[in-house]
Amino acid sequence: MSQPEPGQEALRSAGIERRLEEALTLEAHELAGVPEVKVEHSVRRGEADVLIELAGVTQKYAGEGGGPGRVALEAVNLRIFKGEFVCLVGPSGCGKSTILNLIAGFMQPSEGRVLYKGRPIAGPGPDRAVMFQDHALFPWLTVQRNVEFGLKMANRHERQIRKKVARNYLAMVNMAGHEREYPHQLSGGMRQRVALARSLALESDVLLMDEPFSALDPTTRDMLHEQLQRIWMETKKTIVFVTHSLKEAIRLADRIVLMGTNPGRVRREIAVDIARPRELNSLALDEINIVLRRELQNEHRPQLPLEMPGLEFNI
Amino acid sequence: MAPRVRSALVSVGALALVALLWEVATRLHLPGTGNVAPLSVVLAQFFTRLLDGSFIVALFWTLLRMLGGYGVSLGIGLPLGIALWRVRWLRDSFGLIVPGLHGMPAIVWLPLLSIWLGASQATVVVIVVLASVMSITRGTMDALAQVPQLHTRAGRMLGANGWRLYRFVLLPSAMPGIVAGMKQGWAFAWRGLLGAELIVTGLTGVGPILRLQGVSEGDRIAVLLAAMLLVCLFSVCVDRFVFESIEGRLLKQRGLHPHGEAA
Repeated sequence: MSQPEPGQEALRSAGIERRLEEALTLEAHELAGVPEVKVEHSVRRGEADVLIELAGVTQKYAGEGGGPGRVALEAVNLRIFKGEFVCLVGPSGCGKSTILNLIAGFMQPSEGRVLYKGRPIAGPGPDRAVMFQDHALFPWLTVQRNVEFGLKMANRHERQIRKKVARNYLAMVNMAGHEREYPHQLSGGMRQRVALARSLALESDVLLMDEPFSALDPTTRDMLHEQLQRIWMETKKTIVFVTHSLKEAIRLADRIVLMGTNPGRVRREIAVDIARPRELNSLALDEINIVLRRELQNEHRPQLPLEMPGLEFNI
Repeated sequence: MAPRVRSALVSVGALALVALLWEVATRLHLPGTGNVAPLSVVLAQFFTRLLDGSFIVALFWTLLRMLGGYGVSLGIGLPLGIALWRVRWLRDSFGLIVPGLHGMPAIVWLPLLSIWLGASQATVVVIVVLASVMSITRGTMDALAQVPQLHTRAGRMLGANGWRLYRFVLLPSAMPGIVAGMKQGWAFAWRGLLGAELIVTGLTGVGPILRLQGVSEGDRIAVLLAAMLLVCLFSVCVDRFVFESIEGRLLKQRGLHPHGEAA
């Protein structure tokens, strides 16, 4: 693939920006009448390339003490293809984390089906690695043993080989030399990198990431974005990445799934066909981001009381 | 000066002050000290009985009952705690028995056990079990209930299923709480044991010394105080060198401070 001119890239990202902007400014009732935008993929994909599929998925949470529940997702259809990097973006309460939890197998849909390689997902497993918003490392294990944990559970490899594999992945996230430390001795960014190494060590086809970098400072986040892009390009994993940051989504995704609230649903899908590796400044991402953030705020300010009826009094 | 050294000096200093007051007050026959032996006499009794072996033998028997009973308690309490946490119908049906037994002083069982088992070793050991088993059960249950959902999810995602989830995720995560329950169980067992030994006749142990079997009239108070000193020292040793050290290690590994950040 030839490197496109910077000018072309800026044009293309401006196009994406416009499409995102359009989608964000449309209210729910307006969207209903608008035909869905066909998602263009850089590579045409067929049925055989579908790795994860949500078909008519509705997810309801029971209300407190038998009261009315909350509909986190309503009639969601979503296909994720092999090797794709998909970002789920939307305001809080749009069900983006619910989708991730369904694919991870932490919960079962109230209605509809969630399929992985064509089969319904019964529960969590090492074929779908998850990286949580909070590092979720085991505090009683050293960094080394945390990363080895999945291999140990799978009885994959001898002890010595496990050790080597873990060290390789720790090196991949620039954490070599910290093997003997405990999670509490590390900074937030280091913990997330260890958590990333632990997920990678499972050598799964799928990596599910739930706002994994949201609690980190911008510099650390930028570095992790770079590492994640590199790792994705090397391993060709399928990554589903939940975020509320459009900037993050534009930087990382092949395809952005824009979600709306009340009830949680997919509003629009947008393909991002900017060449990789995408760098922070070459794309003028900051500018796009300012515009988009303003739009996102416009979108969900008037909706806030509708989104969270139970919280009205706290606002 | 290192904080550790300073806090050690402070506690030694405080003890020395109390010892000095004790010795001076009894030697001067201050009012109210007529039935208190001077500390030096008590310490003389303590070391004499330690050296002639009588304290050692007594402590050995008491400790044997303690370890036997406590071991049984661990064997019952840990699995019972896991089962009660895991199985809903068990919790619904037997759930009330746990706080019921836990809240009851074990010594209350003694009259009934004396009828069933007589004044025997078995009675005392069963008291130890009854005193400690519910602390361990409850500690295990509560600690498991507090395992963060994130640990469970991460464990299952990483492939830990069935007993391996317990062995490698749930129990390690719950360990500080389980050890806290074990510590409380030990303290309750120790109380129950000495109470039972004080009452049940015909045994060798620390309790019978407190009943002053075969002690001459003049030595009684000094022997009593020496035996109490033995009990006290032993309790402190177990607390410091067994439980505190295990808890300290567990918490330190997890980056927690047993007495808060300031300590």
